[in-house]
Amino acid sequence: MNALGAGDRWLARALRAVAALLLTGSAALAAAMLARGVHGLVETDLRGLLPATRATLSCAVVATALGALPGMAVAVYTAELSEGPWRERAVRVLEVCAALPGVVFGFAALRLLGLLGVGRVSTLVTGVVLAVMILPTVALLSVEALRGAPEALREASEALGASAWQTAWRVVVPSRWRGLAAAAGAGFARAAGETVAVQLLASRGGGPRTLTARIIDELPRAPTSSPWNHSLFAMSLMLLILSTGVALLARPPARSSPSDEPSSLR
Amino acid sequence: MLLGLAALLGALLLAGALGLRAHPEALRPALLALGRSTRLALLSTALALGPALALGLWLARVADTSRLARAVRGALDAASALPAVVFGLAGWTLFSAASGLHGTALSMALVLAMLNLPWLASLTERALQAVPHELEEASLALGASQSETILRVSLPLASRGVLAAVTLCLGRAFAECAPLLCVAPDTPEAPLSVMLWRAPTDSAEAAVSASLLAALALATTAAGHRLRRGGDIRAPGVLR
Repeated sequence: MNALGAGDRWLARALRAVAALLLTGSAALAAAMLARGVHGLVETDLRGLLPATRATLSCAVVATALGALPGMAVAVYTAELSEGPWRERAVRVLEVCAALPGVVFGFAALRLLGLLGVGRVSTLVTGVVLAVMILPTVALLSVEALRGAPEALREASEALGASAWQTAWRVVVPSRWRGLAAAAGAGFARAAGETVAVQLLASRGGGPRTLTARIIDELPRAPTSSPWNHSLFAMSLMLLILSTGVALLARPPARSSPSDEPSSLR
Repeated sequence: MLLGLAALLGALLLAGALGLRAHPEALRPALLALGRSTRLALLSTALALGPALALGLWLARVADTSRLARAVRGALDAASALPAVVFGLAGWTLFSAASGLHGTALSMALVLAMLNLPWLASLTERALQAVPHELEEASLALGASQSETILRVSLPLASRGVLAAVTLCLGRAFAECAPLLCVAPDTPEAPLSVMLWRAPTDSAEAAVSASLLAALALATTAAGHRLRRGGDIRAPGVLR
């Protein structure tokens, strides 16, 4: 490696300074939020927090139960069974649907429920809407997990006389189950963290008032640094534990480590 | 199921077109909101890009394999998976302290920039890691200094990947609604997503803005796709 010139040192220093600034800034912000959340837990009894937590948990469980397996099935079709341009098209559709805003899903769900004449939105209905929302996400992550399977595995299976269908279900899927579980975990996290769609269903359809719906509803009304306001931060803390906790539990196989070659600036 | 999802997309676009035919006057407010959305998305992405590039460069070329860098990568991954409302609350915490900002258009852009920063930074790092080492070594062997190599060789080669990430950032800025409702609940400058949130469910205005948002999702993913072809960037935006 070359000796460092003066310009190199300045660049390295500038980058270090920006990184340090960003890291300390976000750490301070996180600490301030944590303090509010803990405040909220201490000041208020858990009577407000627990029903909202239960609502979030049940909606997300329903959504994952209904949305994860179909998502994986779509992924198996897309990654293993479809051919040629159809594979590309399927991925495109999934990507656009995964990028659709939550507020659009909320609007579409309310419209559809109005057409179907569903008067009151129950946990099940909210769960179904969330299941449709997380399906493309789970499918895309599963496609990626399945694509990670070594080609030699497929060839070996086919050489033994297995059909594409048998190879997909008996060989590729079992070998990638960790990635598929991670996809389901990410789907759960998205369902628990989804905000505006659930809030619209709650405020206009009488659906369950989850953690996220209550935060959006009540934040403008709760006076700054009141116990009410702090309780909303406690709710976000709970949300964090629920969504990130599950996503971490079903952690994807370790991200490929960065190159081991020496870096240029030190 | 894929057909069902495609049908959902088609129905959204169709509902917007039908709403527009019945109520042509709904077009103007929707277009105005689209303009505000565009401005907001561009501003927030511009705000996030500088720090994200610096953080990505620092991770890829300065800190690299150090323990701190590994911890920061973990933190970035975790932050990319956080629900958007949590960023909304973070923005609320910041801007209620700096009272002048609360409820302004700038606060909306800042909160979106905060939301996009973590994965823009990690995608930048990944784009830089994908640059072949041989090219950088060739540049160094020709006598270029390391900062010259980074600025003239590594960054230009990674630019396609970074651009793809920026496109997806824009898409996310168009789509997000919850953080905006946290920092600016009654802004008069409502972007499309907030306008849809406020509009009555069966109004033409809602149908038109929903189909515009769906069209934007279509456009940004298509653009990201085109840029990603060739580059080695994983499709993000699947976690929100």
